Amino acid sequence: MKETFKQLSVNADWWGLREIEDDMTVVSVRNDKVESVKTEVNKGYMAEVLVDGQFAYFATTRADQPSLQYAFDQAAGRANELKKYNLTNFATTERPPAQGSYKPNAQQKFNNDSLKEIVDRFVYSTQNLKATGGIDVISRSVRGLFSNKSMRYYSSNGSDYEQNLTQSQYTLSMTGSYEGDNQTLGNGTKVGQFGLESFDKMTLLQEAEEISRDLELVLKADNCPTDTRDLLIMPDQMYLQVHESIGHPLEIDRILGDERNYAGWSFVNLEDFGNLQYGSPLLNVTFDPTVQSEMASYDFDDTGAPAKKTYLIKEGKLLAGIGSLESQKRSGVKGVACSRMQSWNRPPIDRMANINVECGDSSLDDMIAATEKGVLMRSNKSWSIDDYRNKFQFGCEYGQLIEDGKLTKVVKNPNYRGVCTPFWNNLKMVGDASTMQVSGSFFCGKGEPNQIIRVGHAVPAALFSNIEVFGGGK
Amino acid sequence: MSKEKSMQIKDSFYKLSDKLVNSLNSGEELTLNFHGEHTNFLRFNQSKVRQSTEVQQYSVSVDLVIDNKQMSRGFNITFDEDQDYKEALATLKYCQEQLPHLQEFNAVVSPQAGEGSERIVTAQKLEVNTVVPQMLGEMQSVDMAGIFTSGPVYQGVVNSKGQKHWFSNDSFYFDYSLYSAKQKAVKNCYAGKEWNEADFKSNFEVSKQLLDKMNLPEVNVQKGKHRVYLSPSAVGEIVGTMSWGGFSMGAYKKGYSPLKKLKDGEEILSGKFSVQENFELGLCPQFNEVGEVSSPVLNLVNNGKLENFLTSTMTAKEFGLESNFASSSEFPRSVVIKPGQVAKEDVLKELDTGLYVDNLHYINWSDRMSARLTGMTRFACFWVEKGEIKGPIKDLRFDESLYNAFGSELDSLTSHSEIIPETSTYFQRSIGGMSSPGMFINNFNFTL
Repeated sequence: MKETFKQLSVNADWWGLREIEDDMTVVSVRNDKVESVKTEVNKGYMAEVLVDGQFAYFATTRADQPSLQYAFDQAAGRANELKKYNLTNFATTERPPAQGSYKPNAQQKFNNDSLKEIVDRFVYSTQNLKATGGIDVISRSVRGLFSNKSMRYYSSNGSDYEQNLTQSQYTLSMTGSYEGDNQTLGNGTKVGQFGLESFDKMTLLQEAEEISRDLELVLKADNCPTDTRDLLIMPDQMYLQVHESIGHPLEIDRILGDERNYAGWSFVNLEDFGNLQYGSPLLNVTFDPTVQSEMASYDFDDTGAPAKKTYLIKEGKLLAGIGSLESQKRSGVKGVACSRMQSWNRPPIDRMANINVECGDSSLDDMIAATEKGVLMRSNKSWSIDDYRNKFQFGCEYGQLIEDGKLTKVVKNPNYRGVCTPFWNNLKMVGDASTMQVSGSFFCGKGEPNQIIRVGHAVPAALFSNIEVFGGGK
Repeated sequence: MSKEKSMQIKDSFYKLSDKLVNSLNSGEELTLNFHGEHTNFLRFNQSKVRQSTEVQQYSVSVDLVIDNKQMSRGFNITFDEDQDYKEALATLKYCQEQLPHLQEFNAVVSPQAGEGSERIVTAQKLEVNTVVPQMLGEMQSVDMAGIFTSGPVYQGVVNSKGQKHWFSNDSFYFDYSLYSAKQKAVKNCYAGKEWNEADFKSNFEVSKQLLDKMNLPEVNVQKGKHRVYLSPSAVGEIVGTMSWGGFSMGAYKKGYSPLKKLKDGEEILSGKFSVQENFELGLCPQFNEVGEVSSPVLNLVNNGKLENFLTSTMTAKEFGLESNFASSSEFPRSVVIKPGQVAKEDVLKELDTGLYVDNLHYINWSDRMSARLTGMTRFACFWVEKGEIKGPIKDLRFDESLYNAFGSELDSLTSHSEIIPETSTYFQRSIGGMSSPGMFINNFNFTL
């Protein structure tokens, strides 16, 4: 591909080519049977040009030199047609040269022998999801996504960068019924840059036993009370709270209005950077694509910007945004290396990578002991937030009341709602390293045309005061 | 897209499929699915061009069945005949090697013989340098964000029992929103097969007039229960979320159907509420991914009663039921909601006093077993008093059960319906759409 790229003749100020291949396998096992195995190799090429300040893209499945020449010619022609309607006059500084190779170590890349092993482990895991205490089990299931994704990037100003990632996600869950009510409880979904080494049978057995024990408790529980109380959020819910109410609002392209017609705007304004007290002084949030095994770790973003750890929020104060070099030029706000594309057929836009909350110094026991009237929630099952990323509501699969410093009865359908900055300023205690968990998602949606991106979140458990909580029912 | 181009792509797919079917071993059954598109995406912000992306993507998914074992593998094709066949053979070989590792599953769906189908909808190619000046020329007086999408989409299915289906459609949509100086917004979509400048200007004028109303002083509406008018688009958002398992027999059997209590007779919906899967809309193919052809019309909810769940052959086999040839996801593909009696010009009068909700955003189940949904108001939403718009509102969060909203509190529906085109472009362009009227609902619960 490198040689083909060198032979291209492009009438543009700058041009780049990305070759992306994603070999993805999705396995679903239900009630000890393989319900579905779907795999695909999605490979293609994105030609990108910059002509008189206007970028344009052409995506194709064809790798031969005439086809790529055609792709670049089409893109250059389109950029020429559209440059008079240009929103921003971009320059080659928004495409710095990137060189090197990113290959995380200590991973068992998926290969032709992996499916047999995955199926074996998954069937074992559902076999160990068991009914307890007289509940009826309706469904015992596990679903996993396994991806080997590679990208090669060449540009007219010297980029020659290769990235190879092995990324996985699996969710183990059981649905049961008791006295006419159905509930589902899962393992909170495990996500990251890992291979087969990270979900051995011992891990799956432990998760299956916890689910089997707790589903009975949830099915026999009362609804979560409706009132205002302290809320202890465990990492398998906390990651989504961070994703929706810190990650998305800080995306500079949202603040600049690119997403207004689809994903939405942001309650954060450009002048808030350096000024807004986003959360309590206990809140420290980083953009950190350097954490091995976390989903979105890399050396360079998809436009060649070098990636490094950056504080977005320090001691509660908003410092930097999730803005690419393009967004930094447009906004004048400090950003990060976050220009990312779903695959070869979508242009790069501002995306989260790893958005992490730094741990504090409270153990889980400390936080429970410090709570007079509260509720612990874990394992997300519902999420919704407005288009300014301000008013949110979340629901979890498992809740447990905290009364006078002790965990007491389990409650079902625990939900809570709030508004971003008051919520984060009510952050009362932050869990220590023993409560940290690496999580994330394969499926963060945004952009027109729509794009899915893979993100990571390493977060601790955290305690918030005075949160509106409620349960289920009509 | 010309008809010839569609036929050419179809012939390439059929030829590749025939060669692959001919290479099968005894006892192997195969289904191939084709998706293709050649799309122009133009993204706008502040009535200027933000990004331009042209995408040519074509893929085939190979679904192999041997002895009640099944798996699929997809790959992208290039229309280089030799290269594509080589890739197809490698894909088939991969499935043949991996299938022995799976156990038998009694619900595996083998391909069946049957009649094929072909539907090709063509349109004149839209030249970007013709359309963009018209779009942006009109938009210079306002702040617009949005996406223009145009070009052909192709879908095909071939199986080893000889079934062949082909569908292609060429269309465009301009999905846009306009913003006032106070950051109030209205949303609209101009869609079709042939771009007509006069029609577009008329569409834009409607949006601009609505935007003027957004400049009225904002009304502070408190949370609590309010009478609402949900526009066809807002109703479509709710029914779209209902489709996450709501109409699926598999979801019911596996324990996560939000309409379980309706099915079990513990809850009821209003007799005014009816939903069909209705392919007479003509927006998507009637065949599914295994080549089965659904009935043109299937009542899902009829006058408040659940008449049918969507049941795929896989679900039917597993649970001993009859298939209605739903897609494997058991999502409705072509929804029609039955309209009511209220004339379009009487909407404000019928609402009387309450919230006019033009759009909803980010809906999710807050309690699936109670069919309770939460979401946000978005874009042009107004407070109305005695049939008169008083002013736009600040966005509100709702949290309400369908057994209330589409049940005891559903007051009336409009006599007009709107076609809401499917504009999702995750991974590839979706096709289809929904026909929905507006709804008047009492005591709709707003919580934040």
